[in-house]
Amino acid sequence: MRAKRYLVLCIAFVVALGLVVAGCGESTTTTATGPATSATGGETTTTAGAEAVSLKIGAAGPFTGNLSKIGLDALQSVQFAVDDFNASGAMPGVTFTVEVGDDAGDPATAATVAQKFVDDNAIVGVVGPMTSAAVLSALPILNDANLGMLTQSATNDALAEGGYTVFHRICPADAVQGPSIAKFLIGDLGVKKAFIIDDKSTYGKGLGDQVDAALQAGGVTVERQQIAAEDKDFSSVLTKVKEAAPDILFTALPAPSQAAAVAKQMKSMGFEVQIMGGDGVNDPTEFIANAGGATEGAYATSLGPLASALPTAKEFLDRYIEKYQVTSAFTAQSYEATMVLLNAIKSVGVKDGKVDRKAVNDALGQIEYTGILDFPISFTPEGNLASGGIFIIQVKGDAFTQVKGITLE
Amino acid sequence: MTQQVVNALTLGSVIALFALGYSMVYGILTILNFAHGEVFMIGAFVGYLVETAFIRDNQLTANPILIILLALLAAMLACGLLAVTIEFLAYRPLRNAARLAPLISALAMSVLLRNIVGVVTQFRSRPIATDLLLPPRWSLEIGGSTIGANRIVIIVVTFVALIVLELFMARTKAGKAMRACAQDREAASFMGISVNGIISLTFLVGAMMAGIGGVLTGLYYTQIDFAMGFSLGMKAFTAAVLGGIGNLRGAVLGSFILAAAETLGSYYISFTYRDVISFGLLIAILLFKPSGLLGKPIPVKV
Repeated sequence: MRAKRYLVLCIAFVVALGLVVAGCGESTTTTATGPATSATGGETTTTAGAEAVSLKIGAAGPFTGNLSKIGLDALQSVQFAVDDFNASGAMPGVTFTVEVGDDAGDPATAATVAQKFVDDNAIVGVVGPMTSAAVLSALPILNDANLGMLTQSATNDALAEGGYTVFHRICPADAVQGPSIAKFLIGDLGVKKAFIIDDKSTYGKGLGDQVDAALQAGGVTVERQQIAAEDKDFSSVLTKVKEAAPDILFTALPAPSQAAAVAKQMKSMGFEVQIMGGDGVNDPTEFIANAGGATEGAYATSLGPLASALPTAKEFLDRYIEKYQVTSAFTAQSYEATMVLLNAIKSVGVKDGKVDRKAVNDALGQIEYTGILDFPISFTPEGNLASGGIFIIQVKGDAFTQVKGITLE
Repeated sequence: MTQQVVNALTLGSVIALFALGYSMVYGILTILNFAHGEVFMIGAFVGYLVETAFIRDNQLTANPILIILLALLAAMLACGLLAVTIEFLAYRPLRNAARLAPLISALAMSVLLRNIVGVVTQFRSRPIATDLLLPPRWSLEIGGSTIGANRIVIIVVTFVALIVLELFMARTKAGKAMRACAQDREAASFMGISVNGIISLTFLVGAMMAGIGGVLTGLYYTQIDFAMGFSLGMKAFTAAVLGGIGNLRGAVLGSFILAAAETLGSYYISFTYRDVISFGLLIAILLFKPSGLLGKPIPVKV
């Protein structure tokens, strides 16, 4: 009798949970069918002279946790690029697979992921990590193994200043982004007084500092406050914003959902200040769709040209959308980064069934590649992008539109 | 200033609804029910499901007050059932086990529930249509500050819930039985009180409060995610300890003090050091009153 009651309760529990769970799952607009982890490879050193060689690209990024949205979208792009490259037959007999390394945006985990990549001899190059703090902790480990990396999104200035030869980024650094944003705010919006919020993260504080310094150099009064990365309640800091009545509220936040919540809570507090974010908020799902109109008119930046406006990216984006429905800020960048890395590997070629990591890294440093982003990609000795500026975008309806490109002279 | 007071009252309200469950369960079983945070989070998701069921093409299909009431009721029901089930599955079999066993089983429940919801929601947040349900034009203007409609609803609903709970504990037989069990479980059972039934009731009532808190927090934060129970849970637990764990009025008092310290402290001193300020206050109070503000000193049993 007792056992029976126990069973009934267990079933009730599972059913109740199932209902909640099913309901919550339904409303997602994105599909997470993507991340195809592959465990093949590992035997690159055998069969000398034979043609079939399998190599791996390490893909590191926040695939779980609060930044998983941008991480998973980027991962899908990396997989897309690898599939395209394999299908193109650019390297006959060589098959690339993606080794997924989830760092959850956490520096400690990023170091473990980097070590895992280094230990896997089939891995000849890494795309990511995506967040500045993760890159900072992965760099020494990758550097010791001469394993070249190319990040699509880590913008912190310090990353290029550590003397690490393996570091490359396909996005402009904050030192470019900060002054460009300030140039737009002062020159185009005529801002006299600004309020900056950051989340104390490597990215948030770094970008906040850059924008702050550039605005102050331009004679703008700047007030700053910091929130915590796990915060959901912004009423206190918004009260400060309301009293300061700035011309612009700049949200130096890596999580677009948090920036959207700032906008929504501002609306529910009944006041309006023009909002602008960095490249972190460039995410149509979290920043536009989930904000229910509260972010209409808000500005953000795109670290590359807005891919949807480029004819060269159209073919890729059409195929991507057909498969995954929505794109994010780093969809095109991640595809391009992967292609740059694969082309560097191609220029080195396979010798005795092996690919030399150091040679790949050297090739990456020398590369000149023009792909779907339609501008020539090459790197400075420090690993920064040699050309290319940032682009100002704005929320209009349910999408971002490109306002203007900013290049610093 | 008025704005910050309202902010403190709002934050205090949701923490109080959350903290009560911790305090009630501790009072009767002297265990920390870590899974309470996840019950709270699931309450928020149940509220989200009810609310989105009444939204078509960005329009409400029913009266917003009715929708919120329905969301509250559904969340109370779901949370209540969930908590009673958790107690039955994870705590009751360990009732007479060593002190640490139910603690570990509580942690396991918490991690399990959090990750189930995380996997199902793909670890992403869900938006709450606060400005559709409670449009900003319903705001009040007091002393030059705008008090959003969501804040008014949160504060009013919380005070009604707290008064009902107070009456329930003070005036009903079941409330009396709960207090009796908290004082001495064995003696209560000698008086003919079904202790197991009362424990289930305690979990039920605490979880219903958390369900209300979850729905209101959704309206306040404007978005919810699988980890919200954990981060807010830290504050609720702190508030319960601050007020004297096991004491219900203490939990409410602790919640409002903590919320005031956080909002006013961060506003007047520094946002960067917000948590330092509130936890510093906790340590200072516990140094002078180790059993919390309204807690009774516990004599050491030899």
